[in-house]
Amino acid sequence: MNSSPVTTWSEFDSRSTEAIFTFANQPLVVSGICLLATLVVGWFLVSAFRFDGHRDDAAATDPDVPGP
Amino acid sequence: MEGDARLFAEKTIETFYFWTGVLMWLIHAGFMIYEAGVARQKNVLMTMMKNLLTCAVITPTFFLFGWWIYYAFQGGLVPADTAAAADALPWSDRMGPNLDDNITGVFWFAFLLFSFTTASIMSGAAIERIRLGAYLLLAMILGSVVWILAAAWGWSDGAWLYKKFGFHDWGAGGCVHTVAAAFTFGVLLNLGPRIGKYDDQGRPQSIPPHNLPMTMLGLMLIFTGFYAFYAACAVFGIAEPGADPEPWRSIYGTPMTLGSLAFTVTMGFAGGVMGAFIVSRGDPYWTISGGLAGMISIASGVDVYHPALGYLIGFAGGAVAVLVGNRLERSGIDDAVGAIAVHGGAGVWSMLAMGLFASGYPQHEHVTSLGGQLVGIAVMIGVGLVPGYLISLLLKRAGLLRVSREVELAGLDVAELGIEGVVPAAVSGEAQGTSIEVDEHQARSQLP
Repeated sequence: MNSSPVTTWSEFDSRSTEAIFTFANQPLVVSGICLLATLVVGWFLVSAFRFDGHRDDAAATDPDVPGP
Repeated sequence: MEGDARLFAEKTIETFYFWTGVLMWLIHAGFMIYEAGVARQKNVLMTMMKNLLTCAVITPTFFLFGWWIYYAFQGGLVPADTAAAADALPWSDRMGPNLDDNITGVFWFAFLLFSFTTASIMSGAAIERIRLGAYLLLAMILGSVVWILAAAWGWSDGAWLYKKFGFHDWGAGGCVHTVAAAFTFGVLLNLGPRIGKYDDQGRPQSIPPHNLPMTMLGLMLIFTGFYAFYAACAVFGIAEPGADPEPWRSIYGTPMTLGSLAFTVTMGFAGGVMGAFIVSRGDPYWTISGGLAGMISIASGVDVYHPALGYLIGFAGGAVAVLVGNRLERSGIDDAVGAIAVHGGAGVWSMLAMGLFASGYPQHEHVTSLGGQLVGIAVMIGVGLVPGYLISLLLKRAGLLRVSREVELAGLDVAELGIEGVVPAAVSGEAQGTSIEVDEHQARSQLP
């Protein structure tokens, strides 16, 4: 996937070039990546809550598992 | 005045690389603590001894021939007779205190610390059963020959992988992590699993770390040291008189900023932790290992990734490490610390992600591409795997690779060192709180 905001070496190595990160010349794509990253953080938080719940359930049924 | 300015710039560069090397020692303190935590109590001290001796055996050999390999083999397998290669010979004027050269010593030092890292990747995987001499020979070959050959081929300004294929591996995800993991895989194929790792039906059994908090602390030190590792990958150039100010550059000469490390290495770390947490269902060992996998996953493209993209790549890398680790374990590969999964899985992913998400960047007359990255992946795996497998096979045939069954069962600390690295809690009196009782008894007896 061509994501470079610069196309030639002289452009890349020029003092006038500023943002060089992937898709810097495609702001909508960068926004989409940020949105996807936000969703992944949400997925992680949901997993963390489910993880807590899993441990709580285990503690309720298994006396060897420390409770909350 | 002009000469003063240049000398000041050179002293600044010298200071920068000197301190990156010093801070990279944290990686090795971390590896030592991390691997000691993973080892069972009976093998703790020997595990730490191997980490210590790794640094000792690689340092002189990297001075004697490792540094020369880097400059002599950038075009392939035939050594080049260049001025740079001649300057890297151990008897060169530049390979010692030289008032006209502030740079060579600190560059050598930084590369030496990279060398330690490659061998430390192998050391953890092979703990608890490899013979000391065999391990040190393999560590020397990996740290002073194999990885630096791979670096010459893919991580230098004259690297043929870069010159012919536009290969881009900014933070050495290939030539450090993938090469070391592939070498380790070759060694483990001959070394075999620890006694008790698999039952009679070949099902893997858990050998839990003897001290998981120690392991987690070790990894935190490794994370800290990795910022210095990455900083040392950036080239601190000096502008010629009258020229434009010189930016930071990659080893391929492409412009960059140190700020890209601050953004993307940290975002990759966070993504790796989260990815490993989800896939391992909150396993503490894999979750923190995922942080390292995340930091490795972004290595090849740290200089150009948008931070959010680095986060996503790190997230995938953390997940990949867990999946690869589980797969290897089921396949009969006993990698005690998951090194192949973390360094190899994430290392390959790092090079692949660069091709998938950051193609099209100019590198002088070359352009980054998925094809170039795939060639690089194949070369890095081959450069590591072939010597790792063949040399360990020779050691195995000679009966020099693995300790005896008796030694392994007794534990390496007592059998080889003659002392217990960790005194069991029951003996030290801490198990039942008796040490406190003794102290109280002693205190009472001393009362007037």
